[in-house]
Amino acid sequence: MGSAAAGRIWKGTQKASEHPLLDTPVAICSYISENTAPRLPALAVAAGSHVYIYRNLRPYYKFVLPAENVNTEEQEIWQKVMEGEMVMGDAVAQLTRLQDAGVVLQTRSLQLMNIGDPEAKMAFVEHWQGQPLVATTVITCMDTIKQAIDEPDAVSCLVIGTESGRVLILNPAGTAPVKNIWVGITPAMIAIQGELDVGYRITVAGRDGKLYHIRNGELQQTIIQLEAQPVGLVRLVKHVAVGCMNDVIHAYQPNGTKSWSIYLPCHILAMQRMEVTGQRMTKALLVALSNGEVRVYNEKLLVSVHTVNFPVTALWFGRYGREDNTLLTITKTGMLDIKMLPRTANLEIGALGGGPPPEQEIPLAVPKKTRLYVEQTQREREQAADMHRTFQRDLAKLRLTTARAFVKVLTDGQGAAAFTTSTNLSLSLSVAGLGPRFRLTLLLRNEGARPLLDVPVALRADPSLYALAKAQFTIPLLVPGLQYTYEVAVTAVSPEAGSDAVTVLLLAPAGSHSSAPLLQATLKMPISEPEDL
Amino acid sequence: MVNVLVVGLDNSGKTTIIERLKPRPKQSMEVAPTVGFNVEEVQKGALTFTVFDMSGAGRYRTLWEQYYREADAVIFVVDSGDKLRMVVARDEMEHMLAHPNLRKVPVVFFANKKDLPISLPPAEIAQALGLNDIQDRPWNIFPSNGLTGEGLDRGMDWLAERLGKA
Repeated sequence: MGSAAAGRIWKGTQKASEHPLLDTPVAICSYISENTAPRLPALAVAAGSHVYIYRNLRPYYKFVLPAENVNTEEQEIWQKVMEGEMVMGDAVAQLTRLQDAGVVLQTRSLQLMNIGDPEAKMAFVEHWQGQPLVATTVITCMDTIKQAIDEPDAVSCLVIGTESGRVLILNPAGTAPVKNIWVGITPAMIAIQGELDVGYRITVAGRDGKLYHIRNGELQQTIIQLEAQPVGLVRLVKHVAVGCMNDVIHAYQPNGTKSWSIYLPCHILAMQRMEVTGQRMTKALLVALSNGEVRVYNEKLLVSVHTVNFPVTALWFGRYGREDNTLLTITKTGMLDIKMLPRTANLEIGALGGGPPPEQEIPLAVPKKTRLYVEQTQREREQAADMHRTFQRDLAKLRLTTARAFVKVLTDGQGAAAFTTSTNLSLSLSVAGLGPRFRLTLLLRNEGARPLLDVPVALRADPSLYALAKAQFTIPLLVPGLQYTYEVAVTAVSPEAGSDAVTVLLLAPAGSHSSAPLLQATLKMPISEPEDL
Repeated sequence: MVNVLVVGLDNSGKTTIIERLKPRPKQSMEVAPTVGFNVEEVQKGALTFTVFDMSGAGRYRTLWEQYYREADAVIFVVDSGDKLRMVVARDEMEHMLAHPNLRKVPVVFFANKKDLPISLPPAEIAQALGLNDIQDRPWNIFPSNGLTGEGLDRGMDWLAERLGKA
């Protein structure tokens, strides 16, 4: 669009025609407005408070934004002033009071209040004499939405954001609004997903640096407060990408959750959607940066970079002439740069390296969930607290049992065999004889590496049943590897009383730090023959 | 009997040129965009050309390389008026010449649509396509007009001469 408020049409590298416009254009869209063949696109140019719709490059229709409601008091003040019923001072005072009360005054009132010279004030009122105060608003942004089906040549409708904080959706012909959504904040940019008749979401970047969401004509509660003012808003496949003044692009899901962010080295100048058609259908994000780079991101991964020598003011990607994938770049210097995507270009993720390694895509061989597993998981979910409690109780019980058993071993030595870990001894007991006189043989071997000195040995038996020839003795030396044999005579005192066990304890040598026996063994004595009389 | 592959971007005039090469009674004035490819037989002196008229549309360009192996000559048609897409033509040409299946066969470039007021002269097209860098095979460029058949004979004579030598 030319700065002298004219539309210039280019064909190839030649200017084809020029169309004067009444006002500085703010947005331009081409869309299919009629369901009849051939589907010739209409051209909509938004300028001021009008949308000029062109067909076959001829003006076809002019859509005028519907008038906004004007504060009745403000209207009355103007009426009185114009009819001379109110003096200027009063009128200005009244308007000031209204403004202080929070009423958003019309531009005409604000202009009047800003004129200092009383003469000029009168002239200003005279200028508007006879024209009732109407609220005019202007278009701030415009885009299109497909009406029913998402196809390149499907009928679309215009979506307009207005200075008064509204989003209007027009009918395909562009003659009347079909939806009028009050946002409350002037939309600076809009991004549209979906189709009008099926379901749609409009993301609105407001002048207040927040993102608002409209879903099927209803303003949603979800409002995203951005860290900095938005400079670009682009809809992607699943996300809406918003570029902010702090050089970050955030991608939000429709429900408002942030998926990823791209941190850029310098300021964002322009953003645009890149929808590649052909062999590889790729939807990517174009970002022009202040260092002259034009970057292409697929999701959050950089897939292509090229440099433009001058600051970029606008980008557009689409079909130009006969070439499907063309990038048009307009720079601040007024240069129009046309780039065509080579047929063999690969903008898939991973084409330029980087990103996750390919191994990450290989799924793990996770076994299938069995019914048992599912039921167990279900139980665990429902009775988690009980299960935890039971487990803790069992664990405490186990600990208690273990501790008790250990204490028992240490204190009364009733275990069949027990030894401390610091030494390595083996002891085997055997008994010879029929009774009542037995011979108890101890076979002892030091399996460790160090010799042991002065090992006391104690024997224990029920004194009412057995009499021991020696209840204790000391082994002077236990050399590793040798087998030692000791014999102890045991006499059954009262063979009729039955049999019991004899316990042999190898105690720790004198001066050692533990009182626990080194080794302990118990032998069950056989039933004794009666004494030969 | 020689196989000639006719390639070039869409709307460059490949099918129209082939129509003009046919004997006059068989020619048709109306051509539609080619889908896939067409095979035609054209007599030129003692030689019979089997012409593979490939579609130039973006989505059919991958089809070209399927016929490189059989090609004894290539005709590359360029729209002289399409200054914008000269880069695309160059890109496609470089891809073709770098393809391992294409032998060192002669290439004729037709700078077609020379009747258009905005058409570029053949020298400028050769410059834009970087033809002077082609060292490994015979090539030549001829301005042509597919509608009248002007310039086509010169190109085909050159090609017949090259093929006769081989």
